[in-house]
Amino acid sequence: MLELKSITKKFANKVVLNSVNLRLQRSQILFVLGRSGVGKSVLLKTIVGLIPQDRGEVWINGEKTDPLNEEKMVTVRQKCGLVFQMPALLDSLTLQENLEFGLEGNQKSGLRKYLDWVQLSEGVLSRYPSEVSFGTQKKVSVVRTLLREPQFILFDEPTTGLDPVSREVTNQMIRNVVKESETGCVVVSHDIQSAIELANSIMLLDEGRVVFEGTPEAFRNSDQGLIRSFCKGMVVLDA
Amino acid sequence: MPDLKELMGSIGNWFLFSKRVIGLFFREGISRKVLIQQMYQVGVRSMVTTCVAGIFVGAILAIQINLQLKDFGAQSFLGGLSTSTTIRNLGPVLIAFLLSGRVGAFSSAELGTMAITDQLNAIRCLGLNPLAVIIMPRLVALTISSFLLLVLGLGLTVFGGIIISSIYLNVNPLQFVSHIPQFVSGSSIFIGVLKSFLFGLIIGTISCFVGYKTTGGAEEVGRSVRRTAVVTLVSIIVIDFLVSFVVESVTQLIMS
Repeated sequence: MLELKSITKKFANKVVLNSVNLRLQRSQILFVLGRSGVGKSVLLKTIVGLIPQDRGEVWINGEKTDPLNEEKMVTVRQKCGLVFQMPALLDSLTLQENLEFGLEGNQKSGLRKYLDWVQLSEGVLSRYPSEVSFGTQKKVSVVRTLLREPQFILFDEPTTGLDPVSREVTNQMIRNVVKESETGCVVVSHDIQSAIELANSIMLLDEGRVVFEGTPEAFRNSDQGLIRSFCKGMVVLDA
Repeated sequence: MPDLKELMGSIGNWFLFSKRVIGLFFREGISRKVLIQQMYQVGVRSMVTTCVAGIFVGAILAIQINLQLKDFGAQSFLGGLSTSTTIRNLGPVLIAFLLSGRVGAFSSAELGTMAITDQLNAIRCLGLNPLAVIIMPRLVALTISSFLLLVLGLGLTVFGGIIISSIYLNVNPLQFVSHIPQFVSGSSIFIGVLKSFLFGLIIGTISCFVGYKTTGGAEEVGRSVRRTAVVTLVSIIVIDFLVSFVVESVTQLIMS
């Protein structure tokens, strides 16, 4: 289980995360929603120790993490992978070399399956990141994380910048990850439609606080002003 | 005062960073394939520049020393004196200056860009240690490549001195070479090689440290490159002085 207890983070005088609590079992999908700049990405980076929290605790499978101990965090990150909003591939390596970077021999076995999940052909892997589209780079960065088979995956806006077809492929990939590997997923997104379709639970952040936590059904039926304004976009999409 | 405090903090952080990365090299080793790839990237591509610089440094020093010797009719000592000066002091320094701009600035910019575009963070999130998989191979390759380039450049300074002496200064190449053993002792070569190694290490550790610690945006990458160039140049001069001073003091102690 992934558990956050009273996570608080300040930048200068601005409180970005204010006593945030979170619990996620394996095989569950949690969507974290909120306006731009409310600390959604900071929350993910705090979980994997890239940004140490000021107060609070992060627990993964009953073990408390220590973001200041870089060597211990290596083990934590093997259990809990983060897929960045930008693909962050190594420019000097081909896509294939990016995927195989630091992999053990037996970890390469799932490559074909994961490429199928994101609908990427093996032929493209001999190219460099600068020679392929943003969408392809993003798919490769997802496969790079899947190959490590972490128990939890944190997705930072996985569908941002993707066309509707690639968006659906990404959503299907998340379903596959949860179904086949029993992985727990935290998805930070602005994509309400995907949240309603995929999530087991939705969390809404505003001004550093959790202002809603519940099922997609409860989210959709909520009469909170902020949630209503979020859902407006979805209604338009439905129409 | 805050500047001095900041400077001391940076030196301390650089020292701890270097210790950690060098420790990783001795604990975990490095794959030959990765080392060769990195050495090709930073070393082979700088070879032409180093060769050209080496030849011209040798030629410049031969001309300058010849000006002094000519007045005393001692041009026959040109080969020995210019080679000794080049190998012991000016050769390593001038070639290291060139490499700090060519190799150090490149590595710092590359690592800085990796840091600000989350490439290093992405490596962390794959459960890998970027110090072990990205920085250490680069640092080792940078140090070895810089050292080899410096030694190559030093060899070519002698060649540059011979060419300019025979073409322009009317000193026969054989005459030039014949006095080299008289002036260039084993300790001169040792000092040249020691300085080359230390300069290589300085270029490698400073460029990796500054690049790795880059935060912010493109402007910060520019600042990191400038910082690497300035800090490396100053460090090379300071180390050159320290090595010369220590070796001179020890030699005098032994002689007395």
